[in-house]
Amino acid sequence: MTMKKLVYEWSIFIQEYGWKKILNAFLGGFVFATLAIFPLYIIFAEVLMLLSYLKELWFALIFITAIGHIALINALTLKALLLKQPQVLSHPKWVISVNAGYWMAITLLIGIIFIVVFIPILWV
Amino acid sequence: MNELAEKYWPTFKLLLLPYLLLLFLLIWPIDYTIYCPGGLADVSDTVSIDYDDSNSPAGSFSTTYIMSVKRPSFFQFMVAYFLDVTETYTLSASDKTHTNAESYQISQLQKTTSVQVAIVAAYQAINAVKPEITVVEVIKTLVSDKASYLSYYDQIEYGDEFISMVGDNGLVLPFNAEPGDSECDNDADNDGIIDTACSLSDAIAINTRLAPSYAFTFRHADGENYTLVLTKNTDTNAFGLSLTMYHLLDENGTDPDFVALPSNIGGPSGGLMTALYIYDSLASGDLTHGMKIAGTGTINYDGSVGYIGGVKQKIATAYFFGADIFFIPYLADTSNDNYIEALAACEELGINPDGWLIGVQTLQDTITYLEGLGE
Repeated sequence: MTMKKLVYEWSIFIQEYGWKKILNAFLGGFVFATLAIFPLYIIFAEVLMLLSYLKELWFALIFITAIGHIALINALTLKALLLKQPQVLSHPKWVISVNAGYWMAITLLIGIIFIVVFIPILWV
Repeated sequence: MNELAEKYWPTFKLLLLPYLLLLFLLIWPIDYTIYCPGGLADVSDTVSIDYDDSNSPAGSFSTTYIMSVKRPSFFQFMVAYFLDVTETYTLSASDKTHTNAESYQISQLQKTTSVQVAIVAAYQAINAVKPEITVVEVIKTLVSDKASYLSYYDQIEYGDEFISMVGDNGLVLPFNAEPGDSECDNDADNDGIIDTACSLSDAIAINTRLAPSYAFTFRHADGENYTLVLTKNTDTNAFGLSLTMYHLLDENGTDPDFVALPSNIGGPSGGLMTALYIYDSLASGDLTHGMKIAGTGTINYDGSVGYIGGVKQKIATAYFFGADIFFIPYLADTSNDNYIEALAACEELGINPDGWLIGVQTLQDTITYLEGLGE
């Protein structure tokens, strides 16, 4: 995968769907994914308060949940796009997967830095 | 968005009630407190002594803190109910009336005064060996709690020093100061010191019978005195003020200097370990012998140790974090003694207490025990 291909696919994808449809689909994906995942965040945060001596584990689970949240947002965004406009020439699945992979990797990196570096510094 | 809503509407309808129920269980607070394991806090991070000959121990001294979850959700309550290391209690009357911010302020006041008392106890203990280490204590009466109906609630801060109040029979002073004209002035031997007086709260109650409002004088932490006219609450017939006497440090007469470093951990239960760390910093030799020494217990200015709460959680915490020795108050052979409770907790959690759990009555007990390990 090259940057050139990525830019090309994105431009075709945006051209075909238009920003309005993409943002509308993303909003739908975000709202429904957040509704689904929200209780998990609360569950892990509340268990973290009870068993804080295992804080690294609970924070790891919270970050894994965040990664799942991102995956679900992107999956639902794709679903919404395909429901809006099923017949397309671009490759929305590929574009959305790359987008999801990018944000999941960023979240994973932030999670690792938070657990390895910031928890030992900040925790009491 | 509409496409998703239409597609998932049947599922959404089906899951709506269980979802709302789940949110209710996760969010709705209930009037309980859950005690949970917390962590070990190295005392060297909370107190620093400015002493040339201070030694750096090969091991460490740690206080043991626990987490207290006030007004947990149903979900937390259910999880805590089934865990071995947590305990649930109904919310105390004091907890019900305090906000989290107030509870934090109270616990910080307890921590601050506890560190000072620990320094008094440790300096006095080391003074016998190193006379150049001196400590001068002062007795202060501080605002330790406030009721919501207290007049001028916001002006009077936790930790402000009570200076005096003008009562029916004259000036009521804290008993460490020069005696006043209170009915409670029981200076039997006429040496200017009240020996067997009634408590300050009784002295105030006796001297505030005739009017609804009286003038009280306090001193802020910055040294500024202020006087306020406080009015009694008609329901409780009280001013809504708790005053507690503390043995604190006079920094001018205390050598070497010390710095109490800021920390989020509050409460008085780190007193024993703080005193032990300070003693070890000033003494020759290393009491830690390279071990991770943890413990709990309040400390009094005379070096005696006092009870603490959350024994089971503290035992679990110290064990999880690999403490080599754990000191705990052992003052009586009764079921509610901390050491006896700790033995029961060890049995329940599958911890072998032999040589690990050490019951002590005084700071000197801990010093003697650790010195004995080196022989």
